Amino acid sequence: MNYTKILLNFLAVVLLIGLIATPFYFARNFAKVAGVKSSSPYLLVSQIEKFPNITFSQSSDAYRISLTKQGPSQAFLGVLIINNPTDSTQTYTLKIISGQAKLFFGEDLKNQLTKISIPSGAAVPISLYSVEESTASSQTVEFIIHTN
Amino acid sequence: MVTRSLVKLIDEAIIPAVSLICGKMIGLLASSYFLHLPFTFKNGQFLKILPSVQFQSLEAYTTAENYSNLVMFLVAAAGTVYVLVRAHYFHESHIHPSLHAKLVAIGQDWLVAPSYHLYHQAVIWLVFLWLTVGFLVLSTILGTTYPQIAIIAFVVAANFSWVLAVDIEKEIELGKSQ
Repeated sequence: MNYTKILLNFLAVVLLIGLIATPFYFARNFAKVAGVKSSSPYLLVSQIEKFPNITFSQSSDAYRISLTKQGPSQAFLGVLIINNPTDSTQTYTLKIISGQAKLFFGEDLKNQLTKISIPSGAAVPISLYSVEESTASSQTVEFIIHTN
Repeated sequence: MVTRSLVKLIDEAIIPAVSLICGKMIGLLASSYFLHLPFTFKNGQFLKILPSVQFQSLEAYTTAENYSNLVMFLVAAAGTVYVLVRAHYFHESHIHPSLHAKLVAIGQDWLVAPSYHLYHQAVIWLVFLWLTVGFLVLSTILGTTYPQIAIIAFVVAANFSWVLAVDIEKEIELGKSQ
């Protein structure tokens, strides 16, 4: 019986504190400056200008890289850099919508990662690899980046 | 089961809490409207469900924040003044008989309140007033509120506390003499 009384009074005190704190929590968080807290899960930095005959464009969530092939198989290491601007580790997945060229995280041709976890504030290069089988001299690869 | 005083305090805290939230909202929207500060409403930003007001620049945010904090403080001060006036002039224990008679004659005797009601109300409003002062001081330290507002708020809250203390003193003296 006594325990119930103590519990009820404790809950009443919690309710009272909550009621008193609510306006101040509201006052602290209701107004913000736009853009201070980024809602974007990643930042993509282009390094395309360092490579000849490559163009980079974006349409909504999809990105497009166009290149002119100069040899049977070609790799463009670090054409883009993906940065995690959030305050927690994020997992990103590269998904190719169209095109024969391959995209992967990092610069290691022997370990072409399409999924990677990047810690807060860290950046990882994205590389492009045009395989020998794709013979067209002018190629376009369209891709999106998923965040898990 | 729950102590009567606690229930009374919870009951008395609802109106001030809602008033302060309304004061903050009205202050933000009025300052944005009258000072032409650009802002947008963004959904799911506050407590993940409620919208928040987002200002385009830090200057606009600071101006709106200052005016809205001032309005919030004025609401807390107005509520405290209302309770203090009732405690000072319409207190059941020491209201002047002729004033009481006049109030009864014009049908406004609801203004007369017992100590139990008035002191619970006064405690809640003063807690809100002092927390608003604390909020303003904190905002001043963080650079979003002008120090003048925090200083004025502190002086006003200190004076209101003193007025309530005078009333409590009067009540204690009355209790001793009875």
